Amino acid sequence: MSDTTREATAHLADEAVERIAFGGKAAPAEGRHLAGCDRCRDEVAGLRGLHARLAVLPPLAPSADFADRVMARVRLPEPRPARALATLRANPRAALAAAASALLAVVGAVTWIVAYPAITPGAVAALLADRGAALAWQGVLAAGRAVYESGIGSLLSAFRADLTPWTAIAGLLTLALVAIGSMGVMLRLMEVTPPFRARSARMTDG
Amino acid sequence: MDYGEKSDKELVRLCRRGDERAARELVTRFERPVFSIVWRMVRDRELAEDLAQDVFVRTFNHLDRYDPAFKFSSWLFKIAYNLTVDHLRRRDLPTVSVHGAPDAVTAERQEATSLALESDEEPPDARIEAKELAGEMEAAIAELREDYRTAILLRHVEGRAYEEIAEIMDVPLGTVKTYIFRARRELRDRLSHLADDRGG
Repeated sequence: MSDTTREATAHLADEAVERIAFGGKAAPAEGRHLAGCDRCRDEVAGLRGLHARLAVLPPLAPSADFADRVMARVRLPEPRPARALATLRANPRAALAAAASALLAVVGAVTWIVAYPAITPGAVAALLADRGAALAWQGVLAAGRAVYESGIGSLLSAFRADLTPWTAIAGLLTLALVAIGSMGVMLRLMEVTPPFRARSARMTDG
Repeated sequence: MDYGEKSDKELVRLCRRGDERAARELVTRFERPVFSIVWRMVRDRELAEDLAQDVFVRTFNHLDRYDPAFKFSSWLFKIAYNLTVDHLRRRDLPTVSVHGAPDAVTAERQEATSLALESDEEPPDARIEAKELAGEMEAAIAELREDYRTAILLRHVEGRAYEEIAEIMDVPLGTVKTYIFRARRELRDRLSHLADDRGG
């Protein structure tokens, strides 16, 4: 069957009728078909008329106080600072955990300043800028040696005869990891849900 | 801050931070189209106002569920469609004319169930003719299946794209096209006498 014959027998697809009815440009083949097809011309004209009638339906409006009545029932989230304070007030255990963590950080900083008054933040920054990674590594070794020589080493040596600064550093790191893990377990037992968990639970539509 | 110039998504972002003026701007922006589509689904003005209120309240009270990847208006209309269809399926609502529900026996009840036009600036004769034409259109629309009715109102009255209508009604794009084409066919058949009476 030739293209011309196919054009003569096949009618315009619904999408083409809509496009042409709403002012879209007809392709050359579509234009030729419309010129010779009463049915498709009626379809286009009918759709234009229907759309015109639907478009002039009267605009509908709710009552003048509609927005007021909606806003009286709406509960928006509280602004973030107020929300954070409200969360802490509502969950004293979370507030206690947060306060304990902050106190530990402060005690650690004060202990450092008292124990090593010469090592100010400025001095550390200057040294690191000057000698960088080498100094940092020497500091780690010195910390391990200090722990070893502080008496903890002799205490531990009662349990392990071959304790060295290296094993002391490894032990400190292990203790730190255990402390972090314990804090997580403690928070879980105290039923404090991390924020990211609460958000992922709300995956529903409207 | 001029809320009228902000986009829907910017207003939603402000609403999530507790900004009530942003929420009010969204209500003002969408109250008419939401009320319009709900009214044309339930055909009762008081009920449409109640349902339209519920639509906005549910929208704002569950803003955490809105996905900014989609248009806010699509999500809002989706809530409106779901709420209205749920209500229609719980009740067997009668078809009413634009002049009020058939069971409206008092003037107050007739007023409450009739259309509220936004403007009456036309001459009286034109208003009467427009109201009669609108009445026939509304009656024809009311006789459509609820999904055909929703689809054709969203397309021809609210001007939504086919893809957006598919999102709102949660059906495939092809199904939306089928609904609209069949709805058009039914409306044209029911309204063909209007073209005959008016000579075209």
